Amino acid sequence: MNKGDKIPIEEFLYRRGFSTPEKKYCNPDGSATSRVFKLREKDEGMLSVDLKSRTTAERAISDPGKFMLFELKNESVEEVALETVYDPLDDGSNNAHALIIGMQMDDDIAPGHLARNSKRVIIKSI
Amino acid sequence: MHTLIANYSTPSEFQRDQYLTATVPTAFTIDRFRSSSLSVFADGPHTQELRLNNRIFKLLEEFSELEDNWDEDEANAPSKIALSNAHFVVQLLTSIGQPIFNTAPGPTGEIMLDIRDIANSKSVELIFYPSRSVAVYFPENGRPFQRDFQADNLPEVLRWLNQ
Repeated sequence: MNKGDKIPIEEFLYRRGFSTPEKKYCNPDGSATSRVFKLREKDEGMLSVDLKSRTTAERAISDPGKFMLFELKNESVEEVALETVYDPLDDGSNNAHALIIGMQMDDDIAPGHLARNSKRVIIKSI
Repeated sequence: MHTLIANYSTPSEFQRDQYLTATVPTAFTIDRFRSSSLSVFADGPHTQELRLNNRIFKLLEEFSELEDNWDEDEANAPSKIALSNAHFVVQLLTSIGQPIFNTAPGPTGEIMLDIRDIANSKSVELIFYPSRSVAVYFPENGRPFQRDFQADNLPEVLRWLNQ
Protein backbone atom coordinates (compact mmCIF):
# COMPACT_ATOMS: atom_id res chain seq x y z
CA MET A 1 0.00 0.00 0.00
CA ASN A 2 1.28 3.46 -0.90
CA LYS A 3 0.79 6.84 0.71
CA GLY A 4 -2.54 8.33 -0.44
CA ASP A 5 -4.12 5.00 -1.31
CA LYS A 6 -7.76 4.67 -0.36
CA ILE A 7 -8.43 2.29 2.53
CA PRO A 8 -10.94 -0.52 1.82
CA ILE A 9 -14.23 -0.52 3.70
CA GLU A 10 -13.42 -3.81 5.47
CA GLU A 11 -10.48 -2.28 7.31
CA PHE A 12 -10.80 -1.38 10.98
CA LEU A 13 -9.49 1.93 12.32
CA TYR A 14 -8.25 2.99 15.73
CA ARG A 15 -8.92 6.44 17.15
CA ARG A 16 -7.95 7.47 20.64
CA GLY A 17 -9.68 9.96 22.91
CA PHE A 18 -8.36 11.80 25.95
CA SER A 19 -9.63 10.28 29.20
CA THR A 20 -7.83 9.79 32.49
CA PRO A 21 -8.93 7.86 35.57
CA GLU A 22 -9.75 11.21 37.19
CA LYS A 23 -11.28 12.92 34.15
CA LYS A 24 -13.44 10.57 32.16
CA TYR A 25 -14.57 12.09 28.90
CA CYS A 26 -16.29 9.01 27.54
CA ASN A 27 -19.97 8.09 27.88
CA PRO A 28 -21.19 6.43 31.11
CA ASP A 29 -21.28 3.08 29.29
CA GLY A 30 -17.64 3.49 28.17
CA SER A 31 -18.46 4.33 24.55
CA ALA A 32 -16.97 7.30 22.70
CA THR A 33 -18.62 10.69 22.64
CA SER A 34 -18.88 12.50 19.34
CA ARG A 35 -16.16 14.90 20.53
CA VAL A 36 -13.56 12.14 20.09
CA PHE A 37 -14.16 12.38 16.33
CA LYS A 38 -14.53 16.17 16.12
CA LEU A 39 -12.14 18.06 13.87
CA ARG A 40 -9.99 20.84 15.26
CA GLU A 41 -8.43 23.70 13.30
CA LYS A 42 -4.94 22.19 13.35
CA ASP A 43 -6.26 19.00 11.71
CA GLU A 44 -6.74 20.94 8.44
CA GLY A 45 -9.77 18.82 7.58
CA MET A 46 -8.07 15.47 8.17
CA LEU A 47 -8.72 13.27 11.19
CA SER A 48 -5.87 11.03 12.30
CA VAL A 49 -6.47 7.31 12.78
CA ASP A 50 -4.38 4.15 12.75
CA LEU A 51 -5.04 1.06 10.66
CA LYS A 52 -5.75 -1.88 12.94
CA SER A 53 -4.10 -4.30 10.52
CA ARG A 54 -0.78 -2.45 10.72
CA THR A 55 -0.45 -1.83 14.45
CA THR A 56 -1.46 -3.11 17.87
CA ALA A 57 -3.90 -1.61 20.33
CA GLU A 58 -1.03 -1.02 22.73
CA ARG A 59 0.94 0.98 20.17
CA ALA A 60 -2.13 2.89 18.97
CA ILE A 61 -3.13 4.04 22.45
CA SER A 62 0.47 4.91 23.42
CA ASP A 63 -0.46 5.96 26.97
CA PRO A 64 -3.47 4.14 28.51
CA GLY A 65 -3.21 6.42 31.54
CA LYS A 66 -4.27 9.36 29.39
CA PHE A 67 -6.29 7.91 26.55
CA MET A 68 -9.04 5.49 25.64
CA LEU A 69 -8.92 3.61 22.37
CA PHE A 70 -11.88 3.11 20.06
CA GLU A 71 -12.25 0.83 17.05
CA LEU A 72 -14.28 1.69 13.99
CA LYS A 73 -14.97 -0.10 10.73
CA ASN A 74 -14.03 2.01 7.72
CA GLU A 75 -17.43 1.24 6.24
CA SER A 76 -18.89 3.66 8.80
CA VAL A 77 -16.61 6.40 7.48
CA GLU A 78 -17.92 5.95 3.95
CA GLU A 79 -21.53 5.93 5.19
CA VAL A 80 -21.21 9.65 5.86
CA ALA A 81 -19.51 10.40 2.53
CA LEU A 82 -15.98 10.52 3.92
CA GLU A 83 -13.02 8.37 3.01
CA THR A 84 -9.84 7.14 4.62
CA VAL A 85 -6.43 7.31 2.95
CA TYR A 86 -3.13 5.74 3.96
CA ASP A 87 -0.68 8.26 5.41
CA PRO A 88 2.40 6.64 6.98
CA LEU A 89 4.50 9.21 8.78
CA ASP A 90 7.58 10.28 6.83
CA ASP A 91 9.91 9.74 9.78
CA GLY A 92 8.93 6.09 9.92
CA SER A 93 7.52 6.39 13.44
CA ASN A 94 4.02 5.24 12.50
CA ASN A 95 3.44 3.10 9.42
CA ALA A 96 -0.19 2.50 10.48
CA HIS A 97 -1.20 6.14 10.25
CA ALA A 98 -4.15 7.09 8.04
CA LEU A 99 -6.39 10.11 7.58
CA ILE A 100 -10.15 10.42 7.38
CA ILE A 101 -10.70 13.15 4.80
CA GLY A 102 -13.67 15.19 3.64
CA MET A 103 -14.97 16.32 7.01
CA GLN A 104 -15.85 19.99 7.51
CA MET A 105 -15.34 22.03 10.67
CA ASP A 106 -19.07 22.80 10.92
CA ASP A 107 -20.07 19.17 10.41
CA ASP A 108 -21.43 17.59 13.58
CA ILE A 109 -23.17 14.68 11.86
CA ALA A 110 -20.02 12.76 11.02
CA PRO A 111 -18.47 12.92 14.53
CA GLY A 112 -21.69 11.63 16.08
CA HIS A 113 -22.10 8.90 13.47
CA LEU A 114 -18.52 7.71 13.86
CA ALA A 115 -18.79 7.70 17.66
CA ARG A 116 -22.03 5.70 17.57
CA ASN A 117 -20.45 3.12 15.29
CA SER A 118 -17.25 2.75 17.28
CA LYS A 119 -16.53 0.52 20.23
CA ARG A 120 -14.03 0.80 22.99
CA VAL A 121 -10.92 -1.40 22.90
CA ILE A 122 -9.92 -2.61 26.33
CA ILE A 123 -6.16 -2.69 26.77
CA LYS A 124 -5.34 -5.70 28.94
CA SER A 125 -1.71 -5.03 29.70
CA ILE A 126 1.18 -2.89 28.56
CA MET B 1 -50.50 6.94 44.13
CA HIS B 2 -47.93 5.21 46.35
CA THR B 3 -45.12 7.17 47.82
CA LEU B 4 -41.74 5.80 48.78
CA ILE B 5 -39.57 8.06 50.86
CA ALA B 6 -35.86 7.25 50.86
CA ASN B 7 -33.98 8.84 53.72
CA TYR B 8 -30.25 8.50 53.16
CA SER B 9 -27.84 9.37 55.94
CA THR B 10 -24.65 8.38 54.13
CA PRO B 11 -23.50 8.36 50.52
CA SER B 12 -22.92 4.61 50.71
CA GLU B 13 -26.56 4.00 51.52
CA PHE B 14 -27.46 5.99 48.50
CA GLN B 15 -25.02 4.05 46.33
CA ARG B 16 -26.43 0.78 47.68
CA ASP B 17 -29.83 1.54 46.25
CA GLN B 18 -28.41 2.80 42.99
CA TYR B 19 -31.26 5.09 42.15
CA LEU B 20 -28.78 7.26 40.35
CA THR B 21 -25.18 6.39 39.67
CA ALA B 22 -22.61 7.90 37.43
CA THR B 23 -22.03 4.60 35.68
CA VAL B 24 -25.58 3.78 34.63
CA PRO B 25 -27.26 5.65 31.78
CA THR B 26 -29.49 8.19 33.45
CA ALA B 27 -32.34 7.73 31.03
CA PHE B 28 -32.92 4.20 32.20
CA THR B 29 -32.55 4.69 35.93
CA ILE B 30 -34.75 7.74 36.12
CA ASP B 31 -37.46 6.23 34.04
CA ARG B 32 -37.77 3.25 36.32
CA PHE B 33 -39.33 5.65 38.78
CA ARG B 34 -41.48 7.63 36.38
CA SER B 35 -44.82 6.01 37.03
CA SER B 36 -48.39 7.19 37.47
CA SER B 37 -48.81 4.88 40.44
CA LEU B 38 -45.53 5.30 42.25
CA SER B 39 -43.57 8.33 43.17
CA VAL B 40 -40.15 8.29 44.80
CA PHE B 41 -39.10 11.11 47.04
CA ALA B 42 -35.78 11.42 48.75
CA ASP B 43 -34.99 13.19 51.95
CA GLY B 44 -31.92 13.55 54.13
CA PRO B 45 -28.45 15.06 53.83
CA HIS B 46 -27.75 13.48 50.44
CA THR B 47 -30.97 14.45 48.73
CA GLN B 48 -28.97 16.64 46.38
CA GLU B 49 -27.35 13.55 44.89
CA LEU B 50 -30.75 12.36 43.71
CA ARG B 51 -31.51 15.47 41.70
CA LEU B 52 -32.22 14.65 38.09
CA ASN B 53 -29.19 15.33 35.90
CA ASN B 54 -27.05 15.98 38.96
CA ARG B 55 -24.10 14.27 37.26
CA ILE B 56 -24.48 16.59 34.28
CA PHE B 57 -24.52 19.69 36.48
CA LYS B 58 -21.37 18.45 38.23
CA LEU B 59 -19.61 17.78 34.95
CA LEU B 60 -20.41 21.27 33.68
CA GLU B 61 -18.83 22.66 36.83
CA GLU B 62 -15.72 20.56 36.17
CA PHE B 63 -15.57 21.68 32.54
CA SER B 64 -15.60 25.33 33.63
CA GLU B 65 -12.21 24.74 35.27
CA LEU B 66 -10.53 23.28 32.18
CA GLU B 67 -7.79 25.34 30.58
CA ASP B 68 -6.41 25.48 27.06
CA ASN B 69 -4.73 22.21 26.04
CA TRP B 70 -6.80 20.27 28.57
CA ASP B 71 -6.60 17.19 26.34
CA GLU B 72 -2.85 17.63 25.70
CA ASP B 73 -3.70 18.00 22.01
CA GLU B 74 -4.26 21.77 21.82
CA ALA B 75 -7.98 21.74 22.64
CA ASN B 76 -9.44 25.12 23.54
CA ALA B 77 -10.79 25.62 27.05
CA PRO B 78 -14.61 25.45 27.11
CA SER B 79 -16.09 28.79 26.17
CA LYS B 80 -17.90 30.66 28.95
CA ILE B 81 -20.76 31.39 26.56
CA ALA B 82 -21.01 27.73 25.56
CA LEU B 83 -21.00 26.67 29.22
CA SER B 84 -23.64 29.22 30.12
CA ASN B 85 -25.90 28.21 27.24
CA ALA B 86 -25.46 24.52 28.01
CA HIS B 87 -26.21 25.10 31.69
CA PHE B 88 -29.38 27.01 30.82
CA VAL B 89 -30.65 24.19 28.60
CA VAL B 90 -29.76 21.56 31.23
CA GLN B 91 -31.86 23.53 33.72
CA LEU B 92 -34.75 23.63 31.24
CA LEU B 93 -34.52 19.91 30.55
CA THR B 94 -34.28 19.12 34.25
CA SER B 95 -37.32 21.27 35.03
CA ILE B 96 -39.44 19.19 32.66
CA GLY B 97 -38.02 15.85 33.83
CA GLN B 98 -35.91 15.05 30.77
CA PRO B 99 -32.83 12.97 31.65
CA ILE B 100 -29.58 13.82 29.86
CA PHE B 101 -27.41 10.87 28.86
CA ASN B 102 -24.08 12.67 28.88
CA THR B 103 -22.16 15.87 28.33
CA ALA B 104 -18.64 16.40 27.04
CA PRO B 105 -16.31 19.25 26.18
CA GLY B 106 -15.02 19.49 22.64
CA PRO B 107 -11.72 20.61 21.13
CA THR B 108 -12.99 23.95 19.82
CA GLY B 109 -14.40 25.18 23.15
CA GLU B 110 -17.82 23.67 22.62
CA ILE B 111 -20.04 21.76 25.05
CA MET B 112 -22.09 18.80 23.87
CA LEU B 113 -25.27 17.47 25.51
CA ASP B 114 -26.39 13.99 24.46
CA ILE B 115 -30.08 13.26 25.00
CA ARG B 116 -31.45 9.79 24.26
CA ASP B 117 -34.92 8.30 24.14
CA ILE B 118 -36.04 5.66 26.62
CA ALA B 119 -35.30 2.78 24.24
CA ASN B 120 -31.85 4.22 23.46
CA SER B 121 -32.69 3.97 19.77
CA LYS B 122 -32.81 7.68 18.95
CA SER B 123 -30.71 10.53 20.21
CA VAL B 124 -30.14 14.23 19.80
CA GLU B 125 -26.91 16.07 20.43
CA LEU B 126 -27.17 19.72 21.39
CA ILE B 127 -23.81 21.33 20.75
CA PHE B 128 -23.02 24.79 22.08
CA TYR B 129 -20.19 26.60 20.34
CA PRO B 130 -18.96 30.05 21.36
CA SER B 131 -20.84 31.66 18.46
CA ARG B 132 -23.61 29.23 17.51
CA SER B 133 -25.51 26.14 18.62
CA VAL B 134 -26.63 23.12 16.64
CA ALA B 135 -28.94 20.14 17.17
CA VAL B 136 -27.91 16.88 15.53
CA TYR B 137 -30.62 14.27 15.19
CA PHE B 138 -29.72 10.57 15.10
CA PRO B 139 -32.81 8.54 14.11
CA GLU B 140 -33.15 4.80 14.71
CA ASN B 141 -33.09 4.26 10.96
CA GLY B 142 -32.09 6.63 8.22
CA ARG B 143 -29.58 9.40 7.94
CA PRO B 144 -28.74 11.77 10.78
CA PHE B 145 -29.35 15.45 10.16
CA GLN B 146 -28.26 18.75 11.68
CA ARG B 147 -30.12 22.00 12.37
CA ASP B 148 -29.29 25.31 13.99
CA PHE B 149 -30.49 25.31 17.59
CA GLN B 150 -31.94 27.89 19.95
CA ALA B 151 -33.57 27.21 23.30
CA ASP B 152 -36.91 28.09 21.67
CA ASN B 153 -36.51 24.95 19.55
CA LEU B 154 -36.34 22.67 22.57
CA PRO B 155 -40.02 21.57 22.43
CA GLU B 156 -39.69 20.36 18.84
CA VAL B 157 -36.39 18.62 19.64
CA LEU B 158 -38.03 16.71 22.50
CA ARG B 159 -41.13 15.99 20.41
CA TRP B 160 -38.92 14.37 17.75
CA LEU B 161 -36.96 12.44 20.37
CA ASN B 162 -39.86 11.13 22.40
CA GLN B 163 -42.52 10.63 19.74
